[in-house]
Amino acid sequence: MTLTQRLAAELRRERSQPVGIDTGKLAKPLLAHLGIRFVFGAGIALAAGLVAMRWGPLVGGLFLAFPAVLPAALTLLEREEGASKTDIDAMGAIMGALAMVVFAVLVAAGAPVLLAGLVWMVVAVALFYGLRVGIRRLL
Amino acid sequence: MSPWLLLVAKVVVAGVFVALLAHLSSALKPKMFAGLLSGAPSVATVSLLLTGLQKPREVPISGRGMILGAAGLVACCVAASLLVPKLHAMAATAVGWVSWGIVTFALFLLLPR
Repeated sequence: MTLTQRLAAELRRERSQPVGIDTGKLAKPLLAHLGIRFVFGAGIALAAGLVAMRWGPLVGGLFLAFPAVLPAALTLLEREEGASKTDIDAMGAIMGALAMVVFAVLVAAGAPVLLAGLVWMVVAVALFYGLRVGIRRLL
Repeated sequence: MSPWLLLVAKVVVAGVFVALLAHLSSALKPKMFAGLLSGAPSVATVSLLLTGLQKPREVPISGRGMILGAAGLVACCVAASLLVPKLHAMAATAVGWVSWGIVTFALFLLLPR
């Protein structure tokens, strides 16, 4: 099955699955999973910080957008729910990454970081719903 | 605050923030929506906020670098979404990291500063 076909199948499934949160899963975090994610996040922050100290904030800034969450998210998702969901999760990450470009442009223009974070959230969610509605019309 | 103490604060707070965000992502549904958080500026938000406390002039400069890194992140996510059905998640992510490096540093070297 091609990526487009899988995306179409996932979007058909999503019609009966509104956006929501599994509160049971949220309330029971696995310490090992949290630990893996902490190591990824802390490791990237350390790398970005050391690079900025050695080569300056411009080069350090490159590493602020290093894919820190994606590896742990995909690896744990593959282990828990199988490979079929991982590419769909990564497709969501593409929209998050596109929104991160907007975040970075705003920060570079001097906008407050928290405002840029809020705009990231709005753009990412808008891209998600835009793609969902757009592809649903094509299906 | 000394630069090393600031770095330790960034590492700890960013690690905690990423862990919490990734945990939230694992509980969200559907999976494409949850995936948005994999592209969230989690490390960036913490690092830039803490940098802003001590060196506010460096924040927009870091943001300029981050634009290139974010373009690399888009490439990484595209590569991972295409490869993850064919490879294991870890291998697909490794290729994604390489894609991030190629796109980010190519843009860094090619674009005027």
